[in-house]
Amino acid sequence: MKSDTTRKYWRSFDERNQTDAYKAEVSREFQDELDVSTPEPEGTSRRGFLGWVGASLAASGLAGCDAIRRPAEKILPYSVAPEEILPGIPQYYASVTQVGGEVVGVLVESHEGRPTKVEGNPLHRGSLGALSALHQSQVLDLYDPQRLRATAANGRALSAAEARALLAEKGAAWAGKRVAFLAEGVPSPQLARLRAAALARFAGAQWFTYESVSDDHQRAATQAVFGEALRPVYGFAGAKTILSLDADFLGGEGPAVAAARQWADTRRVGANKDASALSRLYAVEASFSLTGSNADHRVRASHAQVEAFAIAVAGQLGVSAPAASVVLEDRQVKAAAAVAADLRASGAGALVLAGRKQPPVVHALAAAMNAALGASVRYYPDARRAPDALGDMAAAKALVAALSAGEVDVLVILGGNPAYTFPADAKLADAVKKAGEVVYLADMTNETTAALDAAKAVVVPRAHYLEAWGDLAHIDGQVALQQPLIQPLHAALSELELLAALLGDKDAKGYDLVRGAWKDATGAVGFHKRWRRWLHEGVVDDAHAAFAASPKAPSGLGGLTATAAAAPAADKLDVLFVPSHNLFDGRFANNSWQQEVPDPLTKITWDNAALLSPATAKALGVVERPVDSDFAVDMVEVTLNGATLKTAAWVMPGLADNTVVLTLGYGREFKNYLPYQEGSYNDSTVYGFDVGPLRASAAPFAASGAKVTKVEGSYFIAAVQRYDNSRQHSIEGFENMERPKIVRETTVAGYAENPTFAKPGIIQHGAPMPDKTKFAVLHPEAKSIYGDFDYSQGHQWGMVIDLSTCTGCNACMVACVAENNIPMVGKDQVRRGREMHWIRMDRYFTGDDANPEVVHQPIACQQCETAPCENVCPVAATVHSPEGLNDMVYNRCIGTRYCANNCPLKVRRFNFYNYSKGQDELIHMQRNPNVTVRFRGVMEKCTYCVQRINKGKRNAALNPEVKQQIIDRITPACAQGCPTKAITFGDINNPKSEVAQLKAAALDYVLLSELNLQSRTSFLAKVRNPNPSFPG
Amino acid sequence: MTSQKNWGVLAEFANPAELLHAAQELHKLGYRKFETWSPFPIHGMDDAMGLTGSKVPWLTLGGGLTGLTIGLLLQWWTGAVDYPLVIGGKPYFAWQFATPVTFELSILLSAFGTVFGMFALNGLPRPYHPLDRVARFRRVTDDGFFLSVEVADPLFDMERTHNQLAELGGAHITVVEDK
Amino acid sequence: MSDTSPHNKESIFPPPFVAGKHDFHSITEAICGVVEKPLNINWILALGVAGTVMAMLFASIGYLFWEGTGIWGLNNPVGWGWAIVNFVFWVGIGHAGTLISAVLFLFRQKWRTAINRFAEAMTIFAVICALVFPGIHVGRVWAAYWMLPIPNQMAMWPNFRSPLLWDVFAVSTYFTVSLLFWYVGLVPDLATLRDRAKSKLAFWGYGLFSLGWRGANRHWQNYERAYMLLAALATPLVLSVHTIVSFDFAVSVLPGWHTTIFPPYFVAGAIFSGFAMVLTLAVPSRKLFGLEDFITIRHIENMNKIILVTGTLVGYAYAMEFFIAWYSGSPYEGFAFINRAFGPYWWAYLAMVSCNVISPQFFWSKKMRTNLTVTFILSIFVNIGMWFERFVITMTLHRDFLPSSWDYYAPTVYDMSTFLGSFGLFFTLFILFLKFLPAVAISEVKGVMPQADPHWEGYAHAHHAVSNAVSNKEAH
Repeated sequence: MKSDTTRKYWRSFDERNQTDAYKAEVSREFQDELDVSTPEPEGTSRRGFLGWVGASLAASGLAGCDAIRRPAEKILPYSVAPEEILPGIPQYYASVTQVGGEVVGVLVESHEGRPTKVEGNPLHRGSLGALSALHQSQVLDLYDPQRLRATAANGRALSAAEARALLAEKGAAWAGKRVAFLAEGVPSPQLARLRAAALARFAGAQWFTYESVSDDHQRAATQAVFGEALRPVYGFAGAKTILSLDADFLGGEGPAVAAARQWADTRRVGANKDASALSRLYAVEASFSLTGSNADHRVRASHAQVEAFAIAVAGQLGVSAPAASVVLEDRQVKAAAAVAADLRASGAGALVLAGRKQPPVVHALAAAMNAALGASVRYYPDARRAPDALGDMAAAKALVAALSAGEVDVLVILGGNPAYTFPADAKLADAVKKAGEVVYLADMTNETTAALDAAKAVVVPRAHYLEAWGDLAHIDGQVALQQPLIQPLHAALSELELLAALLGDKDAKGYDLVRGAWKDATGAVGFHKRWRRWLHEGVVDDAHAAFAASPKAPSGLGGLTATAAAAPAADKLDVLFVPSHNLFDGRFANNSWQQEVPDPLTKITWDNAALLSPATAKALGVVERPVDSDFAVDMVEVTLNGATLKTAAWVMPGLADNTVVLTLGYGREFKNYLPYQEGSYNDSTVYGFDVGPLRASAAPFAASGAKVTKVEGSYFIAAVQRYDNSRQHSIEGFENMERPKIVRETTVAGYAENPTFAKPGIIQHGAPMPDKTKFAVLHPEAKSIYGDFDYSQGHQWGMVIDLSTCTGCNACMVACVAENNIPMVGKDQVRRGREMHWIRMDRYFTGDDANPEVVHQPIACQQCETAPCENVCPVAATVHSPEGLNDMVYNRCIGTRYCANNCPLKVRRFNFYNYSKGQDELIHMQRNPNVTVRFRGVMEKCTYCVQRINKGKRNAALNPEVKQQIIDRITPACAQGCPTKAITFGDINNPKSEVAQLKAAALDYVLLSELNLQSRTSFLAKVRNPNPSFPG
Repeated sequence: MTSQKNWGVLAEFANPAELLHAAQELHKLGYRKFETWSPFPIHGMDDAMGLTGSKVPWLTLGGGLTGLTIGLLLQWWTGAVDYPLVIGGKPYFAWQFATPVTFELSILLSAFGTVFGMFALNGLPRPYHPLDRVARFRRVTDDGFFLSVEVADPLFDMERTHNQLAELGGAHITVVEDK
Repeated sequence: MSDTSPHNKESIFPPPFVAGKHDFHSITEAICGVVEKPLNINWILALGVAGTVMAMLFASIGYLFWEGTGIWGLNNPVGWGWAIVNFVFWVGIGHAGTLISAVLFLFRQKWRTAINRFAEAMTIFAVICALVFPGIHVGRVWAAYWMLPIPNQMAMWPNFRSPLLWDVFAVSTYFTVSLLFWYVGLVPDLATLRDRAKSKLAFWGYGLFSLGWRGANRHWQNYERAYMLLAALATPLVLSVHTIVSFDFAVSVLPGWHTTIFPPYFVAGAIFSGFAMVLTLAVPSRKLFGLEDFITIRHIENMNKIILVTGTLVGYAYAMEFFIAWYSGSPYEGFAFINRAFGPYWWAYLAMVSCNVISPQFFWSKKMRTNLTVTFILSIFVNIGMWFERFVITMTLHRDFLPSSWDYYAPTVYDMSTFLGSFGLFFTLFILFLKFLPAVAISEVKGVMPQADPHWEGYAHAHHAVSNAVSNKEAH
């Protein structure tokens, strides 16, 4: 009898007999359920080990140790120890991604091979070091348990290799067939190359590009004015006066991340004594966009009036303009005059932007005005589609028409979810069944997979960008390489691999395709070094830019005339379709981070609603429900040429009257699991309302002649700023109750005459406080009866948030979520006031309901030196560190919630339940191993990303020669992720640090100074730059 | 019954007044080891029996001082010596925030001193007492007023004491035996 | 002067503290009779009902431990909900007992004897109910003991700066001392029950706890001194407890909480609610158990007077809060109070004021004070009002400094079942007490009867005779 140590255990005859087949099977580290069978040509060691993480543990245990008896589930050995990897030390790799064609370069943080967080790549001109909330949230999609796991072809589940083989033979069989491709607008040189190859290979094939959030109008206008479809790139640097004609350039139109940064740089006062150099932003719009909320003057105008406004301004700038079809109100006429004067005065410092909702003529006018003013605008070819391609809406209609006519034998859908995003009059769901066969590269089962006829369809899992090779061209031609961080978790293919397979190359790997192509394009000489550098930096040298700026200048309006439109009326309202700030066109509907982050202006989470101006709501009998109504809101029915939609109604100040704003992307099922999402406030996991049925290809963004009626019933909305408490009170008759200003703002003029207006003691808007609130400032510098604690030694961390440049875009919130493993709690819990975001984005309206101004204020723990929360904790679970951090000790906390009660800013978050209970293990892979996942019953809050601080201090200690640089570079996730760099962090004990200098600035103030909190976080008061001669 | 020995005599009186009077007289006669038993404390009985004051207050004081000391030491040592933490920028120890707990502990230990001290001084709990052997004595917790004189008293003389009790109005005079 | 005027009657011949023709024995009979009677069906039914409600409490707590505090209506601004409201409510009720025993004892208010036992029992049970809540309301109940200064593996100590910790010490001290006080008072009566015991069980049971008390005068001497000292200790204690409970709020920085008037105002409120609860219980049970002779109309009336006084004090506090809020010039304070009265919780504020300030005013009239029905109904009103007072105070949380974090709090079914269940616990204990312990302090009642005084005129003759007899003997 052998001893147990040498005894073999076997699971199959093959295993016992060690047949070749078995050895082969085992020698492959990964079994069939996730196929990485083919060896890597290069970088094997890194990518190979990265793949480990995706491997099923049993398999790797087996591979590692040949089935000798061991706790196979518990060990994850590196059979080949990967170089340059220290467990616990994250790696960073450069890559690139896009949402709706807007490209940003990213730096991806990877823990033991798990990408956990993406940050902006400073070298990439689309990112400049930051990302939008959407781009950051994509990392969660990588681990979405709902992703397709294997190719489904006539009832069989295929591995990637099998799928490639199948596609190759299909491609071979398609000769002579009528093939149609439907792709998203992805500006990838490689995709363009393969597109060309495919069109060449399949004679008569059609290629349709469709993006629901479409730039058709811009395209049409540039086509008319320049003779080709171009995209404007605005030079904000040095801009003095910016006119946004319904263009939400801060909120996601165009390269918003970079634009926000460049715009903010013209708005920064900081420690400057002089604010006269600030740019001025005018926004003319009917909906309430993020850009509008940041404008110095927001001109409320109906959709048609925006065009009229543009015409009026153009006229005064000497640009030949057609006659407007609607009349402007008196105030708008005056405003137009003031704006025109301001633009003219700024000359080359002027910028005019036209929004995608606006008709082509407005874009043409903008181009003409910019040309007339000599504004710094450059135009680049639109790389998201073939130059001669149809517009998005036209493409949708053409494809559906072709399908319905039975003129498509083969339909290849490269990603997207057309059945959901197509306009109402192009119903793919019905037409697609007429296609002979369909190949669909899909993220997960969705409306489109449901519409397919399983017998004729091949559904291929689409690789996440962190799993696949590729390249993407920024709007200005800068190319960045998309390198994967991890082997595909499932048997997924990228667009490139799928196309290559169809073209017959069934072994083509993304790596070969991309690297090969670039080698061909840039020559073999020194390519290897070059390539390594590109991968390292994440961007390709501009010498190899995908395209250059168009030399063409706009000529006139290209024959575009004013659109015939009538002013909206109570019986025929305007309907505006805006992309969701959180779900975009719906592609983020299964992403809990985006579902739970509040809309920047309505503060609604998990839902959309029909937005109505207060006056319109009043006319329709839609009321804001009382506080104690569980926040149920009224329902309305919107009828637009035949189609009707029953949706929740939300009163939104500042909207144009007789206009209803509908948000795209909702009404889709949230398929993931959140332990407490079921609840009395949401009976289903379908959140919000699909406005698609109302959206016709003729009017994808703005339609008129809608009827809106209030209907029976109510709907629960989970908004994080409830019942318009934004006006700082909500008791009838006490509106004017004066309280020290929480947000403090002034104008450029006000700043000039009283720079220190925001300091404690002068809490009113630039004026001394009324006696009534003198208490607040009796002892602004009051010391505690015990005497203050000495923080003069060592690093003392502090933060400054600049309200002038914060646009309220939520990027910091998502960065914080990704960095700190913050649990998403679901609509029901948010409704109950239990959202867990450590940093929240407060939104205050000022001024009248009809046309208010907005202030965005990010609030996280202020790290008070005399923290009220610490004193009241009975078990000393929240105490102060020598570096001035208010440390929350999770494993000491017993959850009395006293600290949360006593926090004057209510920034503490309590785990009322075990919010991460029972989630899929894939989700766990996103977690940051340096941050505890909190259990139920403990309090949590912002830590200033103490794990990042300690990492920095560790590195500084290890590299004494660059100690100071490393310390200076310590940033919490929110500051790192802020596109406008509105958040500054650092050591306030170091007078040379940026944060210390900002804290010395005149505009610097702390919240609730009268409580003598000695907060470490302070704010720079907002400085608006209104036009003195603007009609009031 | 060889093991039996006398413990003393027990007399019953009609009401508090007679008991008080009897006690006065016995004390006058020089008896010391005698005791009165009643369902409720009788006003003036302590003087009548010539008892000195109770020692309970000293125990109360002792308890209180102990509580005070413990309270202060506990908060000072735990906060300032054993594990100092910066909390809300307050010092590691200050009398201001130490006051409530110190106060409560003082009260608590005073109470312990008082109650347990009182039981100790009274020699309670005492499951057995020779008087339990007298059936009538059970009425002491109802409406019986008794007076007992112990053999141990130097003046005790079965005959005389018995008569004196009888003359003082004592009824049902019984000799109480003890093991 | 005319004898018909009640006031004169009272002022000249105070009515006896024990009505009816009672001697020592009949008192023993009357009071012990309640205990010694065999169980009657009504009592069993009452216990059944109370027990069922109590079971609901434990069921709710069980589910709470299983799922977490999320089952309650708590949210981010409102971190404390009904649990804390109930805690303060019950602690408040737990004040009358010790107050009646201690303070009235120190002031030699002999009328207390009839009700103090009863009130002390109520105190203890109320404090037990109160202690349930801080225990279960924390997020991690299994770690709640970290609030006690026990050396632990984390080498951590509690934070003595926290009012919540002061609370732990205050309430537990209060509970312990009240329990001792109650027990000390019980010892002679337990002895009485022991000596009357028919069954062995009763004999051993009562015997064990009566510690062999036999009424020796030397014992009585220490006993009375100890009792007096306990009363002297309990009086500052009783005032300190609700003071410290009020610190939970007053020491915070929140508008509407950060108020120096809280300590006296809470104490007044506590006494107020305490007496109300005593009445709520006394009025029915004196009838049920035939104790009218001991808990007389005069007792009821005196308690109603106290309710009137404390109720008015509380009303004054409400008014003063508003004045200070305005006078402080703090817009936050000002808003907090306007929000209390006119904000979303206006109804709670209305209930509070009308129950606590308006309803006691009926007691200005003797007719009302001496009317049992009115007394009972108003005492219930006061209980409700005082619960709402705590609710209003706690709900101040829902709107503080930053409007962006304002929210609304609504209780869930589990908040309610827990609260209701705590009454089950309270009444279960109380019903058991009424059956197994003397509801009136036997020895004390005897002690305040006229014939308990050796110098009572009734004895004068006998006295004289005996003393002569003895002195004659001496002559021979």
